[in-house]
Order: sequence, then structure tokens, then C-alpha cells
Amino acid sequence: MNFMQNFMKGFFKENPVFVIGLGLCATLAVSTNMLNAIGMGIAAAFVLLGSSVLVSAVKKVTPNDIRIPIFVVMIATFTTIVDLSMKAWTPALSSSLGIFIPLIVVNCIILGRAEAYAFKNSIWDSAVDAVGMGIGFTIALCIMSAFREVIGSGTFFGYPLFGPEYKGPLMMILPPGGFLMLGLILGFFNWNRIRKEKKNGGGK
Amino acid sequence: MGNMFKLAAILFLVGGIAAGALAFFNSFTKPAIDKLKLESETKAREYVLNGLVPEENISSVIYEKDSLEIQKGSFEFFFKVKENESASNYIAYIFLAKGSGFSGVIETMVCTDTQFKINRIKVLKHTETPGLGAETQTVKYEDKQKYGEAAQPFFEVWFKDKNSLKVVVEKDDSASPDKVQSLTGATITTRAVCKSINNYTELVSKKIGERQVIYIGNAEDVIEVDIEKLMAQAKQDSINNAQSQVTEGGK
Amino acid sequence: MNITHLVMIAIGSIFLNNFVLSRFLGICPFLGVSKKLDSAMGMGMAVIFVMTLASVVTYLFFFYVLVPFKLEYLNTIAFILIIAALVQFIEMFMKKNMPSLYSSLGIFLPLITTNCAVLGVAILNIDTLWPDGSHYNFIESTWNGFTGGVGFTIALVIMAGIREKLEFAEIPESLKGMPIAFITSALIAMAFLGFSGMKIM
Repeated sequence: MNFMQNFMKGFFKENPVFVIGLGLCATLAVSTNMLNAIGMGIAAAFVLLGSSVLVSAVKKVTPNDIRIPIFVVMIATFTTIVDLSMKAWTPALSSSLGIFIPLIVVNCIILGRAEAYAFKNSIWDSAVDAVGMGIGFTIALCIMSAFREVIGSGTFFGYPLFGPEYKGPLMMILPPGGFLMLGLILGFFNWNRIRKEKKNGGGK
Repeated sequence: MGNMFKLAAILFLVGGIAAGALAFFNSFTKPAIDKLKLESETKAREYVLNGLVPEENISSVIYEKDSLEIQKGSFEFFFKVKENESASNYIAYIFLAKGSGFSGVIETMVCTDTQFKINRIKVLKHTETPGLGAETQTVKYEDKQKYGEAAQPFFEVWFKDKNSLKVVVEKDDSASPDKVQSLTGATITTRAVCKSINNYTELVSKKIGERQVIYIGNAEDVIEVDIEKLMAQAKQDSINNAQSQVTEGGK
Repeated sequence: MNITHLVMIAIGSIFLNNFVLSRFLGICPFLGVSKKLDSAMGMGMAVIFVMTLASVVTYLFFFYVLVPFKLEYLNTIAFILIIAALVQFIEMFMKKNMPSLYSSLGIFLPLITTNCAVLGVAILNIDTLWPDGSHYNFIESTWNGFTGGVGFTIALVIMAGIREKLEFAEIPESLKGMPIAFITSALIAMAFLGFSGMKIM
């Protein structure tokens, strides 16, 4: 796989949230507005990059039997670094994202990529894969947040779109809205895929 | 068995390296985090004090901590504010009113002058529903355009100059001069904030007035005796008696 | 022992702030295991057990080891290692003593380690403060872990029941599988929203 393919596969084709189905907890909880989405995306991407590179760097010396706990310790270290940094330098975003920053450590995307890719590939390839997946995760968060914030609170990045008196379906920024939005987006991806298959099948 | 030990030792080593790296990193972030915490406490107090003290003198204000007995044996704090080191009178009281709202506790920092006229409030903590009860924190877009950084959440502005002992939701008492309108769809939240301000003002006024509380009997049977009130009542009674005697004597 | 506090925690963790439907913790197993009612029950029991045990150990470790040595920032690493070790032991125990349950849970048992709900409840136990500023005590933490697991199991069982029925329903092609599962969760979450506003103080 060349560089561009490796880098961009995480965007849509193998999007960690919409296609592989990882990182759902964080996606649903954090996607209530665009600022949260970008903040979480960057935080998770940083942890993903750091841990993938480190896992790949020490893959030759890591004993196979305890590789998962060792991965977890590395991921937890990067997560704590991100957590402390955000508490010190971006306190508003830190309290907005709340418990989901320390929960980055159990975000399946990170452990999943470490196990499935970084452990078996070179440092450079792992780094590219990590950044690509991180961007893919951020893209997923942004799509969810865009819909939820615009429909639910009538703002985009805090800027009111429909005038100050907009009272939309609040449900969208509450938990049910998160589930609903994700279900509809996944349904859309499915519909798209089925349509493509029909087209290809009919073309024979 | 030996293999298990080797694996455990490696894991331990990795953990140790990680802990060391974090300790190193923590030394960078800890001072910043502590500073932020301290700043936010002072900032909240200075925010609610705004207007009562000129901007230049706000950092030389003295906050005297005093205790508030919330329930028997359970204490919280409030602040008596002096303009500066050499002032003899208090100019304001600052307290943190707590009450249960729709989905949790709401903490509101309140600053009143010595006559319990509200200067400013700030809702510090809550878990109310976004769009409804959480609107206590919202700054209206037009206000942000007009006042920029100094714009206040519209909810807080409603409370200015109301009597903190009597502030009440419009729905509950439309004749009161100290009424505030309720947040759309969040009457419970508004009521909770008002009630908590009333309750805590009552406690502060009790402490300031230093009314004596005497517990008679056992814990279930508490009677609060207000010595000052008793004495005032006794004084009034004796005046009334004297007056009626004079009137009768005059006949 | 403050009974009011315990009741508040129970109602909070099961209804008001259900770990899955309100806090979004534990989604992966929620969607992965909820296809059949029996595996849902089994998973639920396992999660209750792990959450309770994890609450106990992480609480003790945090307040009696990390805090006295001013090492609070190590809590993420410590907690996740404790949880991983606990799950490992439970797996070994189940393999020997409950082989049928062990094989039916399959890959999802070790996955409890990365279940956001377990780490989530451990962190919530040390972060949440009562109105007067005090932390949860030991009993309250353990109870929170237990009731959180119960709430998770209730949501999981409801979901499994509905999904079993959905197998026989006519669903549009593009919504089959994950999408309809999410839309169903949205409706259940909406129903649970109705619990908010319960006066629990």
C-alpha cells in the first residue's frame, strides 16, 4: 500500500467509527457540538499517534504473551499526558469533555490499531496509519456534531445560525439524539453501499 | 512459573518507566493546574463583587471567612467583604447557595450588599438539561456583540438589585417587587436558584445578627430561642402595659 | 451509613443516569452481545461482577496508595491495570468452573477490560462529590459500581428482547443490523429520559 492509500484509508473506506465500528462511546457522548468534536479528535489522534509509534518501535522486544497489558500501559501514559495537558492549558475544553478524556485509554480504536496494525508494521507506516485513523475519527465526530449542533441548538461552532430565538428539537443534543443520528448515518452508508452493489451487479 | 515471573517483571518495569515519565510531565502541569484552581475561586468572587468596588481596588479587597451552620453539625462558609485592610465596615457578603434543581445540585455564588440587595449572582455548578435549565449560563448573542467580554448571562441579570431574602419566581408571587421571570421550560431550575438564595440569605442574616440558638431537650425536640427577639418582645410588652396603665390611670 | 445517599445512588445509576442510555458508557458490548437474551443476561452478570469488584479495588488503591503518596495522576494507568488483572482472573475462574457460560461469551469477556463502563465507574467513584464537598465513601462507591452494572444489565436485557423480536420484522434493507439497533436504542433512551426530574433529595 502506498503512502496516500495508507493515509487516506482511515478517512472513509475504513473509517474507524462508521465502518469498523470502534470508538462508539466517545463518538456518541462528545458529538454535541463542533468544538467538542475537534477537541476530542485532536486529543484522541495524539494518543493514537504516540501509542502506535511506540508500539511499533518496541515490537521486536515485546513478549507476545503480555503484549496487550503493555500496550495498555503505553496508551494509558499518553492518555494521562493529554489529560494533564488539557487540564492545565485548555481547562474549558477539559471540563466540557469531562470523563471522556481519561476514557480515551479504553477507546477501542487505539488498542485496535495497536494490535491490528502497529504491532506488525514499520514505525513510519504505523505513524501514517495512526494519523489517518485519527483524522477519520475526527471526521466522524464532526459529521455527527454538525448535524446535532445545527439541528439541536441552532448554532455552528457556537455561532447562531437561525437567529437567537431558535428553539429546535433539543432531543438532538441529548442522548437519544446521539443514538438516532448515528443510526441514520450508518443507514445512509448502508444504503450507499447497496446502491453501488446493485449498480455494479446490474452492469454485468 | 519462572516464565510468569519474568513476564510480571517486564510488565512491572514498563509500568515503572511509564510512572516515571508521568511524574516528570506532571511537574510541568501541576503548577499550572493549581494556579488555575486558585484563580477561578478568586475570579468567581471578583466577578460577583463587580460594581460594588471600583475596578482598580478589586485586588485589595479583604474577604473574611465565617462559618455557616447548614444543619446541626454541618458547616459551610461565607465571606464578609471589606473594601481594604483599613476599612472598618463590611460592604458586601458573598456566599455559595446550594439547592437541588431538576437533575442535581445547583451551586450559585451570590454577592449582596449589607442590606441583602443582590449585586450579582453566578451559577457555578449544575447538571441541568442543555437548552432548558442550563440556559442559566447562556450569554445572548446580541449581548456578546454589544458588551464583548463583559457580557453577562441573561439569567443572572434578572437577579440584580432584588432582595435576596425575598427573591421569588414570578409564577409563585406576581405581586412581589423581588420577582424574577422563570426560564422558558425551566421553572423548577429558576425556583431552585431562588429558594437556595433565600435559604442561604436567611442563614447568613442569622449569623450576622448573631441570634442565639438554644437547643432545649433532645435532638428531636429542638426549639430555637431568639434571645434578641424575646427581649424586644418583652420590651414592647412592657411599653404596652405602661401605656395602657397610663390610659386607664388617666380616666 | 447514609441510607438516603444509597437510595439516591441506586436511582441515579439505574434510571436517571443509566450508564449505557444516558452516560454512553459500555456501548460496544451493548450492541455486540444484545442479539440473544441469554448471552445478554450472562454478559450483564459478568459486567455487574467486574464493576463491583473494580469499584472496590480501585477505590482502596486510590485513597490508600495514590493519594497519600500524592500520585493521583497515575490513576488512569493504575485503574486500567487493576481492571485488566481482574478480568484475567475472572476469565481463568470461569474457564474452569463455568465452561458453558465462558464459551458463550466468547471474545466479549476479555473485552470487558475495554468496557468504558468499568473504567468509567471507577473514575466516577473518585470524582463525584456530594453537595457538601465530600467524596463517596467506600460503601457508596461499591454500591455505585453494583447499581451501575445493574442499570447496564437492564438496558442490555431490554435491548436483547427487542432485537430478538426485530429479527422477524420487515426492516428496510439499508437499516438492517447496526442502524436499526441504534434507532431502537434512541427510543429506549428517550423512554429513560422520562425518569429525569425525579426528586431524589
